[in-house]
Amino acid sequence: MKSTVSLAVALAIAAMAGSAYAAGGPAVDQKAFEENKTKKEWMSQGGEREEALTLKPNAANGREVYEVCSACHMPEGWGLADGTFPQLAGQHRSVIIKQLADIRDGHRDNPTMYPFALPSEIGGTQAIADVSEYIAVLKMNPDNGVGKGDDLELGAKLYADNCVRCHGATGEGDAEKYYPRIQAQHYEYLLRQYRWIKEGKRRNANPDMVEQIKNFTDRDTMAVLDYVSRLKPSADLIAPKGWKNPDFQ
Amino acid sequence: MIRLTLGVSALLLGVAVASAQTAPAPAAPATAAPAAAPAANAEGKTLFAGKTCIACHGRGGARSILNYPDLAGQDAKYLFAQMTDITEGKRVAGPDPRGYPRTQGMKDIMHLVTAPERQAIADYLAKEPPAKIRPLDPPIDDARRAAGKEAFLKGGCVSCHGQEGAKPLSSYPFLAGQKRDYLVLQLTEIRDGIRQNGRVATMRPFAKKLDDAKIALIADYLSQTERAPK
Repeated sequence: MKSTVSLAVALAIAAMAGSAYAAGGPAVDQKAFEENKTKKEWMSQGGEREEALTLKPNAANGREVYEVCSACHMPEGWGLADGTFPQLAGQHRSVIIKQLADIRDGHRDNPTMYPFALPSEIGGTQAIADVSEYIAVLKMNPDNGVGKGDDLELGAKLYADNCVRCHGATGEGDAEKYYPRIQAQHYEYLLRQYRWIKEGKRRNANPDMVEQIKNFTDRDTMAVLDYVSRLKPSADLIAPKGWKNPDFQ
Repeated sequence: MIRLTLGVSALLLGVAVASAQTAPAPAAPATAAPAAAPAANAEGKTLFAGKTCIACHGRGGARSILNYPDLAGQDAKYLFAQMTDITEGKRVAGPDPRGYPRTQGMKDIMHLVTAPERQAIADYLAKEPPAKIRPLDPPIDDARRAAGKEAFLKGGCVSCHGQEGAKPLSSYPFLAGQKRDYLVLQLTEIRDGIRQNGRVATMRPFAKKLDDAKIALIADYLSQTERAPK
């Protein structure tokens, strides 16, 4: 009886899969997605990431594509200060492309976002090239979520000893190496991702980072991420307080 | 005038976003929400957009994506109960094609919506005009429609969901005009004991008598049935 039930559910799901993906055509087929879901892979090969980077971005279409994203990440790309949705504004284009490609082909789990990463919702590889360009040049949140601010000296020391080599002196990251800009990111979002990286739940994390932070205590974690959330990008990257994105007014 | 209205909604949206940004950490349980005065319909509309519901369920709750349900014109008590049950993990669903439980994406953001806000959203959606019928491909023919109607009647569905699934008892869902794939999934998962929240236990004995073909038949019929004007 149980097997009949599971079979019925499986069939129903298979039927759904057919109808859900007919519209835009899958960027990656079901079999590849399921295989990718079993992997822990920082830099997958042969996916959309490499292709998207070679395409010439169309910023006007990027604005069109971003409309879907703006429902959660906000029209300004600032996310929510409580960390539910990260700030995307100002992120390196390569990082946006990598994360979008990873979510859509099963290398990174994100049940809330993945429906919107589907080609049927936002378009194919060109759409990734376009929207990443639009996001990368959005001015950043002048008022992001930060930690308690009570352990910043320890945070600074830990950052200098462990993080600066990849994420840079002010958390600016490294576009060529797909290291994200983490300065002025919401503290709660940093905390969640950091924990998932440490626990292996974020499967597309860089193994060097997993190794680097494996002995961090809870106090270390909170101190260093509080410090990171307070790192400031250069002034020309930050929007004035209260700025509204005119593209969505 | 239209411009003025737009300006006002933009302003309201701004307020909702601002309050979301200063909201306390997500750990706070929904039950800790302050008891606010009943919100006006305009507030429900603003919350529906500002709290990201619109991303999946579409404008006015009538243009949902993938196999997510249309919510426009649904019973307000039912909507509130489902939002709450998903928030609290009482309503669960089977995996989507990618292996994520279908309620997971919503559960992960529902800490953004307090209980009074859920009420305001439910009240707003209940008053919205129901979604347009989404035609099947191939379209349903008269024989199948009649067979679906008969299965719906014989199945005992009518006692709670009303004639044609369009006149439910209070706090029960309207089924007429709902998306076909969503109806199939709900019927299947209620039958199989995956969805157990609310009054589902009452329905399960009826659902257990349905095989997959009957479920498909009833879902085809209901999805192609117009909601009577209220």
